[in-house]
Amino acid sequence: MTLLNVEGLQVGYGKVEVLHGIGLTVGTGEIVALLGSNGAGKTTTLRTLSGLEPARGGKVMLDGQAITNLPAHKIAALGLAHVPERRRLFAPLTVEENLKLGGYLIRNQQAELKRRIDAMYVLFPRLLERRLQLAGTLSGGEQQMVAIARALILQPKLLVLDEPSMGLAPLVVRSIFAIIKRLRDQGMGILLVEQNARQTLKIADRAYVLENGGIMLEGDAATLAQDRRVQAAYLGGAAAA
Amino acid sequence: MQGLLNRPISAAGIVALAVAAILPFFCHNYIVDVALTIVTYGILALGLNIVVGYAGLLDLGYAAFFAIGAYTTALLETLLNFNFWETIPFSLLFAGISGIIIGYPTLRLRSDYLAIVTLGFGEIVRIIATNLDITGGPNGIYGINPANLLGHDLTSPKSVYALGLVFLVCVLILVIRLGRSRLGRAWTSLREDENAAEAVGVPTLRVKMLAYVIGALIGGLGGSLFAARFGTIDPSSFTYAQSVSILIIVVLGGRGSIPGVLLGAIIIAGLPEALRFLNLWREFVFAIALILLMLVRPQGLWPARLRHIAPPSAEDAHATPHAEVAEQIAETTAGEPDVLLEARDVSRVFGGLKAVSNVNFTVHRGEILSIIGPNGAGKTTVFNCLTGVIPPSAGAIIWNGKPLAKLAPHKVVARGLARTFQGIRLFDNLTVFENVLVGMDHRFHVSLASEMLALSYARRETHLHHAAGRNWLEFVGLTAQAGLRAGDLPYGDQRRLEIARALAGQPQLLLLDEPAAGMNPTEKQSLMGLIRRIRDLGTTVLLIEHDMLLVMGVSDRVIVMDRGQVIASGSPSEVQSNPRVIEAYLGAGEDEDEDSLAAVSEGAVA
Repeated sequence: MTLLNVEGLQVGYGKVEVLHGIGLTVGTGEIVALLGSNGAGKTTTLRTLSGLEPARGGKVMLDGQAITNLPAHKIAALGLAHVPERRRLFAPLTVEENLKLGGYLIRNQQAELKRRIDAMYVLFPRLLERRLQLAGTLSGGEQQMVAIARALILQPKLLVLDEPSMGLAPLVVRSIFAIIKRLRDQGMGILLVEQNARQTLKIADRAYVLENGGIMLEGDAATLAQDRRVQAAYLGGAAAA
Repeated sequence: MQGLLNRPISAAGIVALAVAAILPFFCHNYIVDVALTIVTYGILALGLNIVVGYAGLLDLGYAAFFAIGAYTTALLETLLNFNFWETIPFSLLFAGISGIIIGYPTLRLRSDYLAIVTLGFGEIVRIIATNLDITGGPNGIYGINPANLLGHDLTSPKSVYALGLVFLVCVLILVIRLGRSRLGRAWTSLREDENAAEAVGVPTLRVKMLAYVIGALIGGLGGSLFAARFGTIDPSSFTYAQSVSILIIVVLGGRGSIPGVLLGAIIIAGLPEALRFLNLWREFVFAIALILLMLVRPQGLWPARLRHIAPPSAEDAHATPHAEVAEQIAETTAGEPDVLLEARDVSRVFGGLKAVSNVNFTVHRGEILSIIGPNGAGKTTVFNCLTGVIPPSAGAIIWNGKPLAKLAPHKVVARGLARTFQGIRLFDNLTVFENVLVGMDHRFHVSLASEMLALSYARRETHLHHAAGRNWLEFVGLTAQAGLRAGDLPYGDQRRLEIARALAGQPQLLLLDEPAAGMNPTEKQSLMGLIRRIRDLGTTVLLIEHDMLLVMGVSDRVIVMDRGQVIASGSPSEVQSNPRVIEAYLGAGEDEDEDSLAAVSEGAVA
């Protein structure tokens, strides 16, 4: 079932148009990867979907409802959660306070909020150990877990992740990717932007390649991983083989 | 000065000054008087613009320096019978000294504290003037003699105006030259990112002091002019509201923009006069007009533009002697020991938590050494200890055989250790070329004064620097982007520019903190090539990185850290097969994801 449907999305900064009418879909229980070189417009795409940048044209439908250019907090309430690049935690607050802020929209339901936070501690046992530690003092991998948990508190239908593996040790990258797979298996739709194309194409179901503000290639992940152009541009070195 | 004439804005500015100069010949005295007020505010605002606009320090008590200049002239003239000209050096001296007294303790603080301290300072000066007998208390000082030139008293509005205009032109030339000097560049880098500025060799505390003191000097000069103009001064001219008016001029005109500041002075000092016909409504309309202007032009009426310094042409740069970096590095390192750096039992404790404990390692000259390890293992803390950002709690860092005592980061840079940051920290609002120039400014030999006077030997050194800077851009492949705003570069180019900026200081050791983060495999390939070329220049490279393809492909040796300790070191292949490393960092190959390790062997073959 199609969860997110984007058609003809145009975005620009000042006089420069960054996205020239792109289209993509994400279904429930599906990991969709968005690949592309730096400056191709991947982060801009995610920020526009979650209402942080205004769209100049096109439309965005979430679960059958138009969310184009709604304010970011309304889009979050409708079920799209965004884990931003570089995590953007509230560094001087504890892990638990960060999670509570993620549940800001669940006001006046303390019991429900507590239940959901406890569910996050089940998903990320490491965070239970660290619940009273300041987020800014966590290691990079733990911070990424807090960022994902914070996004999950609102029980989104679609989780949008911007470079979750950036700056993380190989072992930690693997555990983050394992969690993403688990969320997919629970029926969540996942839109994933990554530089780590090799590992991303392994866990993704489908992928889009964004270049110069347009979708250049799309298809299922396994096929794209075999594509010559993808290998040359994003898998590095493999073109020689 | 030649740069002044070849730009349309400079030409327009000269025309505007010419119009201002002939104003007295066809205008009524009232207009000339208003124009003199504008000129006075213009001088003050140009001074405050150095502090607020160039260096980005908020000063809420600038009128204090204005007061100190005015009272110095008034007191010396009335008590000691000095003439106006003799009082000026003392005005400058006292304003400058108070700038140092206020600036020295407070400029170490965060900028919002500085704002509060300056606010207090402004009030203290006003209250002292109101309460001392010698300053005439609330009534102020009367009977200040006008300035005298060649036996003529400058008493008529037109002659005082002419004097004010001469002062304004002098201040203008000073601030324009300062803005284009390496000091101006250092101020801008400070405003953009203080930590990054320190890390590329800018002595940030001294540079802030200079901004504050030069601002104070100009304020003092404005005060002397003010005293001579009116013949009487009292504390009501030096209130907090006065400080705010000057600040509004700078913000309204455009922080850091000289034409903007002058335009701001015309509006703040001139508009209330133009609105006199409104009588009671005047202040109200003026306030509304200011709010509207700020809403329409939040960046200021005439925002500062990018300072453009054109890099020399390729032939010119290549033909410049001493542009051969590799030779220069070889010269400086000849006869130095083979062990470039040694960390001996280095520990760092943060509030009871041992981030780094008893770390020992050596860096040999000419090698590429990588530090890997899980997040939070203490790798960046080691970098920060090496570069003076934080002092180690225990242990020693031996550099070229001598201990590196606790030096400020800019001094460590001068010793030859340069670094890049985990998150990119460029000076976004400088051009690409100027970013590189900031990185090499600490190597200048000529004095600032000779640079500002454009003496021939200073121009020669500037030219050498520009040629070297251009060659560094060429080294990382950014020559074509030299004139762009650094913040507008795509991500991969920003990474390369950060490396060029660090290299421009000609370090013996370059520390790269996760340079490949956020790069795709193609960019990582070219980064590997770049790191090898840096080593081939003779610069030793110490690398923190998580990308194993890159680390294993490029490193001569690898050090592995976990929980603040070194758990392994050796060649890439030794480290990769070390069971402790696999357990702590690389991960056991229990599922198919092990391409990172598989790829490493591919990379080694390639």
